[in-house]
Amino acid sequence: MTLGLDPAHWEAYLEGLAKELPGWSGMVLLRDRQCGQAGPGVPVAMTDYLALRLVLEQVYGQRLCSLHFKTEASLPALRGYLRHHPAELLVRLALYGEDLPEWLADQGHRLVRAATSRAAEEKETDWLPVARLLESWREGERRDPAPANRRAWPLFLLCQHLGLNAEALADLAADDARALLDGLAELTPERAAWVWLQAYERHYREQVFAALAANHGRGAWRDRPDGAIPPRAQLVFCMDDREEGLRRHLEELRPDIETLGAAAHLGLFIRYTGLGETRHADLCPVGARPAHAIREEPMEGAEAEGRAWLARRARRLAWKARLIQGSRRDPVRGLLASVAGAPTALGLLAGRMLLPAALAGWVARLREAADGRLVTRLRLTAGANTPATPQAPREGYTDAEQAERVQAFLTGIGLTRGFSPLVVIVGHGSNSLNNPHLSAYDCGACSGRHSGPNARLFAAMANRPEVRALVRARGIEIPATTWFLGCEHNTCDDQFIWYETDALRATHVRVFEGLRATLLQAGALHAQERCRRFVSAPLDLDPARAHRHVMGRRHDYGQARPELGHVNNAAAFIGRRAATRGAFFDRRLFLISYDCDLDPEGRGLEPMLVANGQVGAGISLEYYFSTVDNERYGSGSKVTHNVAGLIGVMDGTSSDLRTGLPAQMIEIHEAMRLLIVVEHRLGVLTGIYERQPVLRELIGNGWVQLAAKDPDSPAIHRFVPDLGWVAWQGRAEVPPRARRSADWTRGHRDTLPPALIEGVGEASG
Amino acid sequence: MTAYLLPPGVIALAPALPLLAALLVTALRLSGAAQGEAGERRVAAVTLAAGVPVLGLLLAFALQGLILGWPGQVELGDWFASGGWRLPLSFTLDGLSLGIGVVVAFIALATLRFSLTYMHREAGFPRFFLGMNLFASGILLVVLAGNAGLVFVGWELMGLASWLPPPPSTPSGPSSPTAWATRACCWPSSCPSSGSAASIGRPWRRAPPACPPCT
Repeated sequence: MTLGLDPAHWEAYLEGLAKELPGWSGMVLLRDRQCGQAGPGVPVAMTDYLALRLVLEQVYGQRLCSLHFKTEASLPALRGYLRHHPAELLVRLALYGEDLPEWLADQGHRLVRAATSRAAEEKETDWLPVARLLESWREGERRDPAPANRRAWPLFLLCQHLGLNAEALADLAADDARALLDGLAELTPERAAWVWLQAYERHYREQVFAALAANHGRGAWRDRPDGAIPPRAQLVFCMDDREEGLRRHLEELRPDIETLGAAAHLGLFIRYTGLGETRHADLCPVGARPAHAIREEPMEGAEAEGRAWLARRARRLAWKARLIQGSRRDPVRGLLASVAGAPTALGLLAGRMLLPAALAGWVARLREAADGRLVTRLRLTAGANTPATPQAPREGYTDAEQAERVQAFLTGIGLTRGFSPLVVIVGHGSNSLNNPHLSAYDCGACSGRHSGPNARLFAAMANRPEVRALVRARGIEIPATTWFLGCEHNTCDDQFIWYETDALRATHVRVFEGLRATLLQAGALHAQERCRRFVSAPLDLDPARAHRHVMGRRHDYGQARPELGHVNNAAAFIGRRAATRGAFFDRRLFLISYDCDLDPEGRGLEPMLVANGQVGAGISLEYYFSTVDNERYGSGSKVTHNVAGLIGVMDGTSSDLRTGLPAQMIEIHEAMRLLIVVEHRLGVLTGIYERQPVLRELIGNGWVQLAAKDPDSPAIHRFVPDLGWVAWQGRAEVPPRARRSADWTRGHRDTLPPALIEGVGEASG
Repeated sequence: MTAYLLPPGVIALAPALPLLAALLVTALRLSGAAQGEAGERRVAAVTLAAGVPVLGLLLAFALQGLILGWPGQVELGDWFASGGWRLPLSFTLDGLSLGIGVVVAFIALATLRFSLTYMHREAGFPRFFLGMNLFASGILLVVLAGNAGLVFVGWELMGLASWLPPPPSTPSGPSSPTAWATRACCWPSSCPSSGSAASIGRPWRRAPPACPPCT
């Protein structure tokens, strides 16, 4: 039995069939394409999947055709049937393809229901009266497609938006009234949505431009003149919009600290394996494949302790597996384990219910007591200069590769001189429980994983004397008094993990201790700022209580909103931090450090704009589409999500694999296209735009907006695809000022417009 | 006769308080006071105000039983009688029923506490807690009941509660995949309603739909 499709249409038909279940089809296609890359595993073929779908389609089609048309499920048979039943064809086509009035649709549905309950073929005479009614209704529609009663409601809505009351409407001159009605006729739902989107974007864009213009010249460390006192410490964060808040609070607390931003893979695409782990993680952007493998191992000289630590850990994990798996699989041991473990399980349940954060802390301490402490290092230097390929990643980087990566990264963020005694590289990640969407909260630059290992690796590389010598030869003099340190920021509970602090020199310990305390303080203030967006957190939380609140969310099994991810993202700034330092952007800006004075021709900017533009656009559009139609482009509510086969989530037990973001992640997102502001000259940006097809597609087709901030003046230009650069002629009024971010946010749940924070930007630099 | 600190009749509060909470949630829902964030807080307050004392009460009874001995069968009077047949309001307060009662009340409270966070901002928030409170009341009645008649009533309350799962959070109505999935979740063989008398009157609930409407 065949469907009788013309082979010329097979491809389009199969594509349509696959797109009926975009989640499953996308997953199968991905696995099909990854075949041979991901190592051993069950091979997955898209053709097998389509064959299965075809079989199901045939079975389902057969059921439908025999139910409705009493014929077999093939195109020729259907054609033959409908040729003999033109009235039925007319009614069915109109019923499912047109917006029929209720009285007519009701009659059509009644005929369809009757057809499904009969065993014999349909009589054309049953359908003829409804077909005639349909024709007369269409005739009426043709004569007056938009009767007055249907125009009144849209006109009423339009007048409300324009602020016109009934009297003003009645007083309109004939030409004005005609113009209003003509405008209304053109205002289809699609056009109206486009107008509203542009209005929304313009409103926010004006605020951002006004803040950037007003903040021009306020920020410290715009230049790094020789002999100037360097910052007390420099911290390089991820470009992530969530880090904007933490950076701002840190700078408010200690104006002598400088912060910078970059994609947190830091130019190190690695296959990372933690100590004792059997599985690795590729820490690099989606689509890239690492050519270098990095392994965590015990510090040199501590191999015996390392072996003992691994043995203790293995024993603990074996007991855990015995308890959990044994109680599932073995009936006798299962019964014994259930009876013996029941009181403990009940206690744990009570702990999770009442004091989730305290219980998690207690469990972590218990685990550490069982395993013991071990000082570790990364094996980052390659033994020999063998080829490094994605097919066979080489262990470690050569000295030359390390120097090249360190120099390229530091140049990219504009940190080539004026080094502080302590330079901290901060990766980030997020932890929460019972959360299948966990990776959506992690570092986007590391394809939804933690970027702490990249930060640790970069710091370890930059501290090696061999690498510093090579970097010096490449033109960057890192003082001997400067020490790099790796760190990971947990964006869920604003806590920090520090790496290799045991290697700190005595001269740096005091600065480090001070910085650690300041960072925790900034974390608490940041938690307080974040808490105002959680309805379940009181508005009057002080920083310490807010910090405890976010820690509780991290460890709460029932929390569907452990953090709000990129929910605020709206814009990106590529340029010196001095341009944004001292301004409040409500965690809405991706901040990428770049010094245009070091790169007057924009050679470094070009790849940065391509890579970061795509990352930013990817995040922004994912939030945009998940917000505008959460059922289709997002994944609906988390509440009914079930993890299926450890590959995705389904709604309940039978649905497509859900893609996009869940409703809980976007419910307070303001859907706008990303506004990318670059600090550089127009000519340079025009050249890059013309050379890069990716940017032409992103910007020219309106997926993101582009603007340029002049490095030497407050002037800002906006790129309009059809017109080119247009000078911003916005309001000259200065944004509101506040002493501290907390003063500006206090008592507010919603997003706030930018403001200038006093006493931060003007720090001596 | 042993003198108990807690009069045995007080045990009736164990199934009665969640039932009362279910009725209060219904009243809040019907009056519109369960809407929005403030409504959620009201529903949560009512639910916890029933769940916490019930656990405390059962713990106290269990402790009292361990120290002073188990009261055994407790009869509070007749619910109703017809001819020679009567349905007494009686409870069994021995080690087994009170032990299981404590565990059930604890699990119910843990589930309610979890759900108060998990269901935050879901469209069916009050309806869900109406069902949960009803279910807690039904299962406590089954565990503590002193006669088959009350077990039957408790069983039916659970059946009724399982008929009130959260509606899909999507506005697209029951034809959405979410609704099908949610409903599909509610037909496990362990579902009390699949064997309850209440299900006889609605046989359409006995089998999941074969497929979405094929119009």
